Amino acid sequence: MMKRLLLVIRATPYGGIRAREALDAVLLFSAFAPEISVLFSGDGVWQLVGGQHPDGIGIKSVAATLGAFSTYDITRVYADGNALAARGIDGLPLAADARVLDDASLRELVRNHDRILTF
Amino acid sequence: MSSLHLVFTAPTAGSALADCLRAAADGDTVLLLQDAVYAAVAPAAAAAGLLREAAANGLTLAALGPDVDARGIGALLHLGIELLDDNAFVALTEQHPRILSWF
Repeated sequence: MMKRLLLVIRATPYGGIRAREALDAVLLFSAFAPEISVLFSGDGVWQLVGGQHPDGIGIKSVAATLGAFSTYDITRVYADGNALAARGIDGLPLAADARVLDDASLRELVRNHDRILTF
Repeated sequence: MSSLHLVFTAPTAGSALADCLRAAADGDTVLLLQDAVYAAVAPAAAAAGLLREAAANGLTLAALGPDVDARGIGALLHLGIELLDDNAFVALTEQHPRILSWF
């Protein structure tokens, strides 16, 4: 039976290479694990903020990769509600149609997956 | 002679901003760059208090525009945080012989 894969992303979008590697991993793994889930946790929730224009810092936008999720049939995308609130960005529209989870739903998400990778 | 403090990391990633503000004196300038610009997002509780206090203590607070724009948080910033472009950043370093970096 195919293992259910959850990728947890805690990296900020432009703070280092980790964000790019995480999103590339999501796209890559989606070919092998069709029901892959992605959870944006901690500082990773900053990836979901709209209106990113990184031309001025010479880094490719992560928004484009997040926008590609639906093309890759990656629809199980979640955001830690607590992390959003702690950063004052709960209530903003989120990229990739991310669904906001409370703590109980977060625990259930973990229970429903076999392999978890964190970036 | 006043100092220029450069803060690079987000308040959620460590104590760089908090440590910087304890070392900064009246008349100093604190510039937020890279992920540290997240500290300037108005509702983000802990950092908001720190920055308010800093402004009250005579510090000039600024953030690097390109880093703010990259992260899409321009509309979410504290009032009172000055946005600088790269040229203004360079000018700032020329105005302050003493520069400290905080990671």
